Amino acid sequence: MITGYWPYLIHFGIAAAFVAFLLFLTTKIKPANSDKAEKYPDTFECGVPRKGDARGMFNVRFYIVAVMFIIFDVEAVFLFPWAVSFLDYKATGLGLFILAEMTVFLIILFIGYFYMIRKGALQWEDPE
Amino acid sequence: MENIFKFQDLILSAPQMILISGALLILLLQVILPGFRKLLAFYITLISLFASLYFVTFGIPGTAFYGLLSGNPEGGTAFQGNLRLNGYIQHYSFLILLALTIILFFIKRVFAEQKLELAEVYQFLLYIGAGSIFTVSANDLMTMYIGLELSSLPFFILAAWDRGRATATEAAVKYFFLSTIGIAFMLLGIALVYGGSGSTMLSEVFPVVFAEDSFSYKLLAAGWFLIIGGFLVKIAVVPFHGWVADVYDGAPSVITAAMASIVKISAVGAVFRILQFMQPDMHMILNTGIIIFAVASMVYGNMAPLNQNNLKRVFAYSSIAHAGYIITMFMFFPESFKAISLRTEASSALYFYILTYALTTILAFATIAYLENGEERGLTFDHLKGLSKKNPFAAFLLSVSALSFAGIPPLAGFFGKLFLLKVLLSAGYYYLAVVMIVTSLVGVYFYIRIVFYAYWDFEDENATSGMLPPFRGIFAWSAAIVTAVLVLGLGFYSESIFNFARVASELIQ
Repeated sequence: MITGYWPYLIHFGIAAAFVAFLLFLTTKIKPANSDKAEKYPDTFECGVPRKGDARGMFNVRFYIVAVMFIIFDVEAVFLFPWAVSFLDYKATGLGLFILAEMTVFLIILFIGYFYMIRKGALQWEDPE
Repeated sequence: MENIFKFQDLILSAPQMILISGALLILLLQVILPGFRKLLAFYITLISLFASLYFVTFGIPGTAFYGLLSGNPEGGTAFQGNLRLNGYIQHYSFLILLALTIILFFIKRVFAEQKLELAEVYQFLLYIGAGSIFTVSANDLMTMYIGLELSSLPFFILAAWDRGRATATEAAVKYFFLSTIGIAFMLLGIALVYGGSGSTMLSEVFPVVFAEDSFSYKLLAAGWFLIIGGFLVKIAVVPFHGWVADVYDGAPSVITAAMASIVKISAVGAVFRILQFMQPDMHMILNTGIIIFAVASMVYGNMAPLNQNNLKRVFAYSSIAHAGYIITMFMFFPESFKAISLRTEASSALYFYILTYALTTILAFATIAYLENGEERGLTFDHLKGLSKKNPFAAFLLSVSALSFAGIPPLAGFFGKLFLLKVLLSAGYYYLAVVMIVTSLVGVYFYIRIVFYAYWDFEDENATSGMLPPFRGIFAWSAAIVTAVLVLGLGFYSESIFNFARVASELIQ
């Protein structure tokens, strides 16, 4: 006999009773001459009829700008702790090493940035 | 503090460094060189792949970087222990690079014909190679994760490369979401392992033995299974197989060849790296799961394609079955089996199986890529009618790959299955061996069906349109011939390859 689970049974009972109570209440307080549900085939959403499609189209350039923002955002995330701990590293004689590490990272990042610029990622209008 | 950077680190990670430099070079040259052409990108990729293949095979003389052929007594670690190098890992790196090189030749021709060739494709291939090698050689779970990401992200893009087609986009989105969820669970597992043991370094975390009812043990066990689960999504065994058919079908066929081979090679290599450190009492729980997953994969993967008419889907489902065969070997990886040397048997059997499986998959999907042309991409059995007359070479290649998948004796696939069965039987898993034999016998039906449609004299064989172009391109010809010869001939050298891999796997730590 499982005795440790009776609170769940009570929980379930309260939930079922609450739903039954709400359904009962709706039949009592709704206007007697209200329309049937079949008159509203659309998705019921706050009572307002929906307009158009939920999926909107954006210009693809917004995505490119967003991606570029993410890239430099992440770069900043790496740069801040690097800058904070730079002097500590310098004190232990590893200044050149940590500088070189960050330079390699930035060079790789800027190759990508250069590529994007040259491919016209930030050109908002066609040149011609 | 001593200097942390050693030049030796760069040497030990030479293959990855060469691949990444090649990729960055392509990226840079593309925008600064006025007369840049795609052929240059192809040759840069080819040279990078060959260079790293050379280093992986022969090693760099006078350094700690041992090659496949120069023997590898100890190996080494690089980047403060983040990368591990030993003979067994070199085997997997070699396999990844070999598969990539073959696929590169196919991609060159197929994408040029389908007007999809851009220089970025080659760059993505290089990233995939570097990421996969990082994954198999990682000694730290975070490095492994980053390697896995580096090799997965290009695949998401390449799956949607044929962006005019809705199925390609669907494939990319499905692959992206499902494998990202897998990776997210894996990251959670890494976090739990870190919480349980205080380190993410494989060689530090796992030798520590905790009491079985301690909190650390529970965290470690939960982390473990989440990590293994993340990799099982990549290998696509049955509870995690939902994406396989749609993704393999929707992506361009050459990319499917890369996806089905390279992702599995690197995931299996990484799981091997993880499992060899697993605690003995934990893997007993894991074994139960692996047996269930393996049996489910074998049954599902061999039953699902029975009434399938789309050729790519047939091979996609059959890759689930092969994933089931592959993961049976995971049971023998953990340390406790070391004493009875079953682990070395299992790891070398697995290596040979992965080798034959990768080559056969590449051959199958690359041949399909050649056969589909024009707007209509779904290749069905009806298109195969009369193939042996219209295009005998393609019919031959398709039959070789199908028969090798089925495990017909002289072909490589048979010997792969033989070694797996030998290990299973010597370990006493008789019922698993029976399930494997029976399900692969069921699978023979649809493999033989491919051969039958390609060679049988149908009366209405001219009813299908001219969807089957002749096999063109010197690179693709040579790659197809090399792959077919390997699939045909590897079986005869199976014993020596098996022993070669065994020597490497005896030395691993």
